[in-house]
Amino acid sequence: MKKTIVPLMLATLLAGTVPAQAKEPTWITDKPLTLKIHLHARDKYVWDENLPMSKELFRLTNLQLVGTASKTATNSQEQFNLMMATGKLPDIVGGDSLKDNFIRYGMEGAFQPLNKLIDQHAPNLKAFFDSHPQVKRAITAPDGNIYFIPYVPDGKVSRGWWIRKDWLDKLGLKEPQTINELYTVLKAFREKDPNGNGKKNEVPFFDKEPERLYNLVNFYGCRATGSDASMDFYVDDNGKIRHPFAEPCFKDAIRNLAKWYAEGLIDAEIYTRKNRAREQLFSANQGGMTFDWFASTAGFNDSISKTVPGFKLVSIAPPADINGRRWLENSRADMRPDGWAMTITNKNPVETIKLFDFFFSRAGRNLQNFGVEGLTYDMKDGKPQFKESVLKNAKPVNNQLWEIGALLPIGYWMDYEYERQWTNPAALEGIDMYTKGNWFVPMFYGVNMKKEERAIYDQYWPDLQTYMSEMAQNWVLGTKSVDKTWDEYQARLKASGFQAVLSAMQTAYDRQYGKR
Amino acid sequence: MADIQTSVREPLGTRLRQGWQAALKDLRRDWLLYAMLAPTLIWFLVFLYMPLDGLQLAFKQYSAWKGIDGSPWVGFAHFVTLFQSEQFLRAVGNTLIISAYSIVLAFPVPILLALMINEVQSQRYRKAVQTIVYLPHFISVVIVAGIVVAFLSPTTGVVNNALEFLGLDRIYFLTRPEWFRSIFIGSNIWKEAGFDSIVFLAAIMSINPALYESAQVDGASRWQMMTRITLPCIVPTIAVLLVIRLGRVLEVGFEYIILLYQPSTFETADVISTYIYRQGLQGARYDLATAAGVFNAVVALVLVLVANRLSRRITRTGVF
Amino acid sequence: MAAGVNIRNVVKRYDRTTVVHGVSIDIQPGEFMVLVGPSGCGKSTTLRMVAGLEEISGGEIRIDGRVINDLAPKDRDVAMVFQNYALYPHLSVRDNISFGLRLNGAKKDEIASKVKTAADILGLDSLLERKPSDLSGGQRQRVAMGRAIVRNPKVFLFDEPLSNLDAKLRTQMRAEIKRLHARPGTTVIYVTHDQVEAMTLADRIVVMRDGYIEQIGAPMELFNHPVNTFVAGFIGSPPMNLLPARLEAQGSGLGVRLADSCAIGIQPRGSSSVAAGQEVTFGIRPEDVSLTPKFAQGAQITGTVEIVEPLGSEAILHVQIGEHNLIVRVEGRRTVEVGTVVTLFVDLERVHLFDAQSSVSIY
Repeated sequence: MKKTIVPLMLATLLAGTVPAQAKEPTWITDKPLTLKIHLHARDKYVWDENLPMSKELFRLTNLQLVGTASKTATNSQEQFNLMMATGKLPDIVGGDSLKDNFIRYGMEGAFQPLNKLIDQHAPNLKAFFDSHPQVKRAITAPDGNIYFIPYVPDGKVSRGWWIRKDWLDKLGLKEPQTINELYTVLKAFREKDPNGNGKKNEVPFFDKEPERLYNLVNFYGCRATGSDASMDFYVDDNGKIRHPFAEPCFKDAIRNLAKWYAEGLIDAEIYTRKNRAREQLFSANQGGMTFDWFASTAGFNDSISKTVPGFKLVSIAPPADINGRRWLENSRADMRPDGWAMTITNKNPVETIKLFDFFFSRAGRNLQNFGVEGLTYDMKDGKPQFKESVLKNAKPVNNQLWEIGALLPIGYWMDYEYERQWTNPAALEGIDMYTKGNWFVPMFYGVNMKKEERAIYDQYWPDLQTYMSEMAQNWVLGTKSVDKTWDEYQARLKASGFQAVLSAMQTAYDRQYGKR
Repeated sequence: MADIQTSVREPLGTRLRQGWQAALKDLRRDWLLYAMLAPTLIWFLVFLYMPLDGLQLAFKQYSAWKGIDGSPWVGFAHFVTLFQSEQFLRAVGNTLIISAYSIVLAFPVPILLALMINEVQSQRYRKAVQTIVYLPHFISVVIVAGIVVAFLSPTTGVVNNALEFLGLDRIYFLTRPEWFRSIFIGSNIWKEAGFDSIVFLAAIMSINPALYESAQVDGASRWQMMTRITLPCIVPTIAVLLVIRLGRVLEVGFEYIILLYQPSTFETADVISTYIYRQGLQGARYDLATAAGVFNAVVALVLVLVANRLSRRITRTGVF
Repeated sequence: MAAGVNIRNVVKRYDRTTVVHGVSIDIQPGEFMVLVGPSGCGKSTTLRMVAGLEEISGGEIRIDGRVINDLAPKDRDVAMVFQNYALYPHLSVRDNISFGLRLNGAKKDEIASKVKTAADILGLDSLLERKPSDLSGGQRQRVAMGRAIVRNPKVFLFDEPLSNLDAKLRTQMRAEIKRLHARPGTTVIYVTHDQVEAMTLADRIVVMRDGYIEQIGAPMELFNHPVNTFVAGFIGSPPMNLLPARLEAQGSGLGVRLADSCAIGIQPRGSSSVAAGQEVTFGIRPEDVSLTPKFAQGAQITGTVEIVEPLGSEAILHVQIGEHNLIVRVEGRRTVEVGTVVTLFVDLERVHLFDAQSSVSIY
């Protein structure tokens, strides 16, 4: 017995230590190369070389990435700072929400500028930046260098307007096409007891993120934010940085919102209900309309219709504003502040940039979006297709991918197809409508400020932002009168350095995106 | 002659050597005691004294990459930033007010509770009461905040239902600055008063029972025993805890406030820690946060020194 | 003013354990009664029942003829001094002394004069403004007594008041307590485990053990005529020698055989019922044995000196007789060498015999 087992074991051992790799066309290097990577993302995910995705990457590129971030740590930002502070840098650093850090520490000398490397060794990245100049501008540091490769989402749509179709039908109303119709519908939701319980307990408009309520100002022709985040700056048609909450039209719009709130059209508890607002209000058959992500919101049709008979939630095109224009501020960003960068101590910059480039190639995108071929997806007609077992699994597809090490926020180009394959039909309907409608206004990707500009921004902006959100909330709640306090509000913004912040950002913007 | 020579001071080297030898002798004799002291000393050194080095961050433009030593000095710039911020000053004011209110309103509650628990005669009832009042301490603030939100909900909350029943208007409490402090302090009392009463109960338990018997023979009523014996006897405990509490006057826990506050209640709810938390979110500004921490510590130190001196004068008890 | 205290069949039970079994004591007005016994004998419990700090499970207690079983402590007109003084740490000596008066709403000048009187008696004048923590043990004890004095009660209760003091202070305080009692009309019930205190202070002593009274009587009565070996061994210092012995016929009388080589002939006493062959405990106090023939009726025994404890004016000898050890107190400054064989003279009038089984005095 012994004699037969030993050679067998030896064989397995050898196979385990020295993987018999067949040379792939995607190999970056002929000799196997190992690089160290610090990647700690979303407070829980780390790069793990033992996961299938990492092994497949090794097979495909002959380049092994070994993770150095602590698997037990639960604060990614802290882990990044700690790693920087020790001074012992790995070859690659990645993670979410690191854009400002990459640029700052890149300029301080911690990360290598990538521009030349991209030009010489990264055809896919170069092609991508050529076709997406706005992304290139958004990641360019004030010194003109590129220090990191971002995560680039794909697809156009993020949030949309959702309404209870069954309520509309019951009250004999049509999907609202204009602001006036919207008002009528919400009023009817409030007054006419669409849930039929005899009580006026309907909540016409609500949202799980209280700040999203300000999106309603869009219907009064006014901006609420410049990006998918709430209360962000925006850039006007003349290339000037502005803040929606300081615009004159905001006064009118927020006054109207206060009126809506007072009339009970907006959830009285919108500021405290938060995360589980949809679950609460839909299952209680009280919520009428919300502004939220497509996939998750469409899902309520399945889960709630069992307990609320006739429950039907549909997405509607944004009703036209007072000027008759349909538009939407929230779309999917072309770039996220996530990604990865090459440290100054990296001895293999060429191989590293080729690795970065790989994730903008078809093979790399498949790996990062769909996982490992044969394990999570198969190729059909030259296109990746998730396996049935993955799609049918009780776990959401993205969770399954996280588990094998894919989807981590490294610098890569998302493939919308990955999401499309497991998005439910009700959501897809809405997504298609919004994509075709193309009502999106351009997004602001933020500016990369120089130290002096950053200092001004840091000194004034946090206070200003606090003050703005404080006042906006007071206006909506009716605790402060818009008309009585608007002038005082403007004066206080002025006195608190608002113009200084705008001009610091403007300087950065002009440098980064070119003066118009 | 010999006597005179020994009275002359030895040269420094000799004295040092003798001192060192004496120390060594002490160490050899009482090594076990020193060994037992060591973990605490090491803990203090590692966790309280070594980090003091990091305080220089308050005066630097911190870059994790350059490190604490490599980051450039900026003098008092961060302090200037803080004190030029109206919101920081408001936060300091709010912190002091919330602290003052909780010292005046919340600090006596555990004492009263301890006195009342002490008066309960039935052991079983007493145990039940103690368990019930201790329990909230073990609930996470997240859940407490959830309970508070639910209780005060303007549409379904118990409090508002009661208000309506009494013919009063419903109030969206959590968006009203004038209510914030009451809610914060009130719910904190609910959460912590029971647990905090343990110290006072322990102090009461340590009072010599003969004092009560003597008073009983002298004809004291239960009320008189409480006011004239129990209370005066735990005054030193109260004083020490009050001094400690004063030292933490600027440390209003930010987790709970963040869970409860709203932009519309910042006016009364925004405290130093929440201000720093928001600042920190804007870009991990450790230097500014350290500056605020240094400011906190200085104020706290002054308060403790003053409180301790007062306590020593009034009750002859102090923390140090 | 003085009041008698009558304790009648008083029982104290905690759940199922009984700690005082039907104790009866009659205390005369103005009497100084000491309850003495080892710890756990029920003496403190009895006192606390008188004070009203413990409920009375059975029987009754009268003070001045009035049943006080169900009266609150303050209505019993008693004052108590506690072992650990029970001074209020936050109050000055003056306020400690006047605490009870102020509780009962006495007038200011009345309080002042009573405190003054008490302070005079106890020599506390200069200490009135101090806090208890600034006082010595003896001073604290005096304050505790002052607190009792100002109440001017019918009965004073002392619960081992001197046991926390050192020997010297104790002697001094004993004198003070004695002086306090000497004032007309003060009834005192005093609990102690120290028989010296009991002997020096008491008009009468109650010896208690395990919740029962062993004997009540004047100090010398207990000393001279203990009813059993317990009382015999408890009262007196050093305690009475108690040696197992056997009675045997010896001529016309009886002999107490202590050891093979040693027997003492005794004369029958009128009341005694002793007979030859009986197993007994032989008792003789160390004072009643001498190295010199000084007793009217003496018996001689021989033994070897094992230990000598010189105390200055006297010495304690441990003398080996057979297999027993006899303690002898010898007066004067003469010294005896260890190992010397000595002849001891026993005062036959002071010999006690107790029944070996029941321990009861039979001779």
